[in-house]
Amino acid sequence: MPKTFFIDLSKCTACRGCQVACKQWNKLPAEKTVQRGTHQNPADVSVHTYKLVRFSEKMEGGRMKFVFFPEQCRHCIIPPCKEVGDGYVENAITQDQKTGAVVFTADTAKFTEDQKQEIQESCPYNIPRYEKGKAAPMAKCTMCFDRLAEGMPPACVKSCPTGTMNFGERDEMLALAKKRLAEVKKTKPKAQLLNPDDVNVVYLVEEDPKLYHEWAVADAGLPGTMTRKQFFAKVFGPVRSLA
Amino acid sequence: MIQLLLGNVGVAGGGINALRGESNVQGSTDHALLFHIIPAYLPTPRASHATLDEYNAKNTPKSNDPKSANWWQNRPKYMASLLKSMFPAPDPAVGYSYLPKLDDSQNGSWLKLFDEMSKGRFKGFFAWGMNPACSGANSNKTRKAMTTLDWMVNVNIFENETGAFWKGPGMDPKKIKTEVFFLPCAVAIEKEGSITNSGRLMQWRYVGPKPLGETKPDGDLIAELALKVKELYAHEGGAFPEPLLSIDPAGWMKDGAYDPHAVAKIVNGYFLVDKKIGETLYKAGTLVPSFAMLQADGSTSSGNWIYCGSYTEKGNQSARRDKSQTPMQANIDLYPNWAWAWPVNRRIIYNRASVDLTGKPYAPQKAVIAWEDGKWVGDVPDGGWKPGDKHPFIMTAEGFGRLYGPGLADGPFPEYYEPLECPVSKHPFSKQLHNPTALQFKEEYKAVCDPKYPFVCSTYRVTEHWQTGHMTRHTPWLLEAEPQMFCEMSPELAKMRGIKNGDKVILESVRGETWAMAIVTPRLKPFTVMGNTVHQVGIPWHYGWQYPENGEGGDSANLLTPSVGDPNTGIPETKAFMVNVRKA
Repeated sequence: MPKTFFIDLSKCTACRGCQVACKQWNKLPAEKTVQRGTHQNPADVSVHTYKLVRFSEKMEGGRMKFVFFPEQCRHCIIPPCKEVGDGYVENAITQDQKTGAVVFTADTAKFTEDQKQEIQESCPYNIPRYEKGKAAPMAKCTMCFDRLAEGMPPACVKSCPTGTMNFGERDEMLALAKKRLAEVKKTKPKAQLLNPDDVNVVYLVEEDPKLYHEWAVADAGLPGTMTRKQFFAKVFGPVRSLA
Repeated sequence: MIQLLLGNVGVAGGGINALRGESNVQGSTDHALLFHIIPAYLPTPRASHATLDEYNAKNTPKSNDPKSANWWQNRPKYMASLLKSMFPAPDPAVGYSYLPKLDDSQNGSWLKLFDEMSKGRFKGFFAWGMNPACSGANSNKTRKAMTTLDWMVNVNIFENETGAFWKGPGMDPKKIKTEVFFLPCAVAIEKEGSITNSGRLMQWRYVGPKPLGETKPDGDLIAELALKVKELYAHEGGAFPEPLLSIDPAGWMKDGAYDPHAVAKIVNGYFLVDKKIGETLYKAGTLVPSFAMLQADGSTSSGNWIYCGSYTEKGNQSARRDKSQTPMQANIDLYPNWAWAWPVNRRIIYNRASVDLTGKPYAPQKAVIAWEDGKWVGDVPDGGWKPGDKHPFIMTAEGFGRLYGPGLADGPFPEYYEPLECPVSKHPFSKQLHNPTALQFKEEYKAVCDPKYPFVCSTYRVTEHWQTGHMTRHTPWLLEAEPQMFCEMSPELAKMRGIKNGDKVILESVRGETWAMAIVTPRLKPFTVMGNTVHQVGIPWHYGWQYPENGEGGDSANLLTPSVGDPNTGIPETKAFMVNVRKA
């Protein structure tokens, strides 16, 4: 049974404790940023930013929607990035049997830039990153597998003061997610869980997922919108159904 | 007022729970952060209180009601004990003559202080763990005031806009006489001592990491400085040397270093002579177990009577970490053996208001105290008298809760006034537009319906930065998340001024100008006020020119804010003032 994150966005206040805790634990440097007319900073995930709180706001029916999306790798149950990567360098991308953590090893430096781009494009959530022109490893969230080995929760979960970030056994997290969904739906009828059967990072959103982030949810059933690799990942994956 | 009317004082989950801006504001206020009190809420001596007797006569309330505990009738005991902790040798009456006195009507609050400094009435200035060049209203005035100083001591963990004021924007170092001394100090987690939260809970903290390099805890800096000043006065003399020669910095230290335990014991207080109280003999040199034993004749010391009982012969009570409790205490999540709360480890003050005149709790399902079998159980009661013997509000002379506070500058009831800078010329439901008792400097122009400054501005905070940002701007991950001064405004205002999201804008007020990056957001909306459209902008106050380097983070929002303060506390009116905004 893998481990699963349950990210309850009905509780997120965008304090960004998770974003900073991730950088602190993983010893990631601060990026040079400027105020661009949004509180979201850095602008995007990168080799130095595995976890990013995205900010989104929109007027809808005269009401302000101001929503936050603490983005990270979903640690897919069948990770397309690994399927593509294994075609070039076997096990440069590993999946830990015990935790389900999808980890980019130092061997990801062996991918060519085209291969790196292909791996990035294979991700239904647009997560993996690499530095152009550098023979360096690719990077993304590690599930803090080094902390897990010591019996500690991921840094982002440890730092969360509101109960947004939850982590534990997959069945327990899914049970919690379903319980919370039922509660939240009472006041937010659009609430849903994002790709709960496919990933080990399950988000509960209160609004249309596209309001949170373009890549919040994987597009199902529309092969035309997917890259070739995403399409094959879907085709060769097990039959999936959305709860 | 509302809590009193609701009967919501002295009960579990009730009361006024001030949300402090810093973990130890309660502790620092208890130990006299503010100008109008000396430690433990004793009034600051005034010029007309020439002697201790006059001070006591003026400041000790009387009550003819035998049911009023009128606790402040004990003030002379607390004052005498404080004087003995400060000046161990002399008689309290002599010690009192050593205390500086304020003029009778003198206001020494923040805005007034810098106004006086701007008039050249200060020679020197200690900026201790503060950054007034950014934190106080009207930063240009504050920064200019600092140029009148002969010297400044800046105690902080990094250089800041205050210590570096002389090389800041618009300053010519060649023309500034001020000599600045920078004392780098240890941060909070590198120091041992206590923190008191707004629940009056005093918790002892141990040293985490050792201070970096040659930095020292504040206690060491103060003790070493006091020792040296005393030594210089002993050798060279000077004007009025007696007070400085009578303090005992060596008593605050152990093996040449500041000793927080020694100071915590001085704060608690000692018996200075053998004293028999009731049947018990308390030996000279032992710690006083409770403020009920403090004396007005100089036979006891206590640096802060409300903390008397915190560090006794039984040890450091605030270091206790015992979770044991009775079922009654567990029912309201009360942990009487975890750390220590002033006064006398009472966790919920005015708890006698939670019981009727027979000692029966009004809310038995969450009882705080109860009179059972001839004694009080639960929390430490507000005085051990039998039920009904005394009125519950023991700190007021009359023994009752006060629906309005006598002695305030305005009142008795709250009233709405427009801020001193505002977008309307008339108050919609009062003849009085502004609070006539607000703290202000009349010669400083205020923008009221001034077309040059048409927009309301509010300052606020973001989670990523703390206060003037002095610690957080130096934390790269936090600066990464909120890198620059911004100005939030509505799409309507942005369109009117030709400003696009992410543009650089200039904010101007009567007092100064500064730049910010525009965040155009429908989270801000124009108001319709008395038929007119009024726009509001919002800016954070966490930035300063000195760091990040080259001023690329922006400067303080307080360059714009007015020197206007609340009538009673002097807290600046930085949430509503008038500005102009234009594209840079």
